[in-house]
Amino acid sequence: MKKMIKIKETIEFDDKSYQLIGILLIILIIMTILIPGRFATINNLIAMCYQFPEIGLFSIGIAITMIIGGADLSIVSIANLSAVISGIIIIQKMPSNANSELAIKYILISLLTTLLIGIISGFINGYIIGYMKVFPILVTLGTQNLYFGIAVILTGGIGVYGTVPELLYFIGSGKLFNIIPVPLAYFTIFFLITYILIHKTPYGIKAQLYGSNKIASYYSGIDNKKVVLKTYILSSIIGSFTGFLILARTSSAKGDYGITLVLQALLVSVLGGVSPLGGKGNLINVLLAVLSLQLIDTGFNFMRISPYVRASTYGGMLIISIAIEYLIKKYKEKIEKRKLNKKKY
Amino acid sequence: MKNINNKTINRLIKSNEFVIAIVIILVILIFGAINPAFYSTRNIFELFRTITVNLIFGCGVMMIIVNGGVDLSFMAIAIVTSYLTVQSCILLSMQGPLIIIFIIASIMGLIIGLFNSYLVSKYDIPVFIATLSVGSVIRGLVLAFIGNEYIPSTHMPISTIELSKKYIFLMRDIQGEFGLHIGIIISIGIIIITHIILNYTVIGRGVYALGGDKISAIRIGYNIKKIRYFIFGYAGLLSGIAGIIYVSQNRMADPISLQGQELSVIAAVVMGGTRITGGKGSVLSVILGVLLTQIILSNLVLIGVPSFWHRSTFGALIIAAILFQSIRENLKKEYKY
Repeated sequence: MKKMIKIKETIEFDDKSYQLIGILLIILIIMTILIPGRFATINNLIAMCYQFPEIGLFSIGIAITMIIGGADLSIVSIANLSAVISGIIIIQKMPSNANSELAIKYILISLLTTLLIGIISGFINGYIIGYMKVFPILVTLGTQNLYFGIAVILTGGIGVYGTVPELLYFIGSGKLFNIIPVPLAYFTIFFLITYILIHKTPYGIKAQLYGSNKIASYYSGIDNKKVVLKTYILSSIIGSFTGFLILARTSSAKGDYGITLVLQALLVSVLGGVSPLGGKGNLINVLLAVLSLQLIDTGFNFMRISPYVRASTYGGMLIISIAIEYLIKKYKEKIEKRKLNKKKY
Repeated sequence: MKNINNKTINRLIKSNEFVIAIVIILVILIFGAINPAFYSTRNIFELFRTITVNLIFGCGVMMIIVNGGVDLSFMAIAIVTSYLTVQSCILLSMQGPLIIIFIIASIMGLIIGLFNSYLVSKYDIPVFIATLSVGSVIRGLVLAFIGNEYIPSTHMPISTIELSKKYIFLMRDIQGEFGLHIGIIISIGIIIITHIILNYTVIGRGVYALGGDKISAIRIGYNIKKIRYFIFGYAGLLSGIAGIIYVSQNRMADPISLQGQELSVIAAVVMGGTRITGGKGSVLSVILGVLLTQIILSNLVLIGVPSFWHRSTFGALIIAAILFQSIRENLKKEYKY
């Protein structure tokens, strides 16, 4: 019971969260009615838990960079780069007759390189953006091409395929205690770490302040450069570990996997109420946005709607949600004006 | 008199455009030294052919960036409008004239562009979010409901195919006939029109005012909504024209082509000297930026760089160019935040 109360205290809902929960429920109800007996089943829910962690992690990575007023467009390329390098270590370099102990060693080495790639690529992004003060979208656009290119050079343009050790397969598609899908657990760990870092630590508060007003944060004694550097390193680490998950789930790695996911993750973060101008954002809302879009995706799959429609629903939902928000804001302003008028007379 | 001359020369040397021009000359010299085939007329004409479309895109993109925002929908607009135009021509079994095809496509582009600006000015959505979602929506809708298969050259209207074979003049070498494609005239025309709009009309000066400082622009008396509708409409119209040229150059209408390449045009325009936060930029920056990226990208093969190195070379190029720019800008600035 005590634990429950603590969780309630740590997870903060705002107006936007209730809106998103409402949207989530509406989608769930509509899909359950449209696809009777097949949508709201435990099997389907578990299947979804294997699918959303990738886009979820990307969205969180982009969301934190948007909180400080930038956007990490290179995150998917970082993921592919780390997936390719881990793939080369595990699939190509590991002797094929390796026992499980050796396999664990190789996987640990590849996890270490994943971390290293995250730190290095994030450092490059963060250093150029924070210390040299270049417009973030341009920098990450350049590094996106750079990391993508390195991955292509490493694989010679083909990709990495082959048999993977059992443990890696388990990370990608196994179940913890026969119930919890491992990707879900993987996602939860990274989500919680990021959530705590952004919302519960001094660093997170500094980052939010920096995002809403650079000049004010500078004059209140915050080291702006360090904040930017840390945020980009964090988002790159999230990206590189997503790459490891992709490798585990698909047993392959390619330089150009999921390039369109960048735009989707951007849309998801905005849908989750992260302001693209910086300063505002709650990661819980991003999670809710990811979940509601996953529900739509799965529902459309069941209804055999063309995947192209799905691509356009992201954009459509975004426009509609922003328009509705605007109308609500206008409506509230109107009511307040009326109240003021009443007081006057 | 001497003083003034010195000042103008100083200014010229310090300007971004001058530096980029020198870089372009250096690149040309280096590439030519490695492979003299680079200087061949055929190669130069081929370069003009490839930059045609990007120059037109660049003009629209530059205007929106100067106004203060990044457009991410122009390639989607181009491909959607050209695909729809070709489809409707097939439906009506219409073969031309070319001018009608251009008009249909540009009107469609204009409408989508106006919708973009409606979202931006009515609902206060940041430009790059609005254009990103509009782009994905229109592309998805066309792919889902109109068709997702490419139209081969045998089905396309004859006039568009003929456009791809029209040359200003023809030349002959060992490999056969080649010529300067007529598309470059269209892009030069559009560049001149854009230059005139930006520099000699009230609305064009408003674009700079709005990009430089929104609040002062309002206080001076510019109608911000009008300016925005104009810019986005113009960019959409240009996208429509560029789309038709692109389709005719490739001799097929493929609705999934041009995906995710928006950023390379944006990078080119910014590299040329357009300030990404708005308020500064000219057609010269478009020309220089597009030239530099295209010269390097399309001639890497010629100097013997393997094709899978191209992406990282391009990435490194973008980073180097913007780093250089920002270092120069930071030297002038006094604040440190």
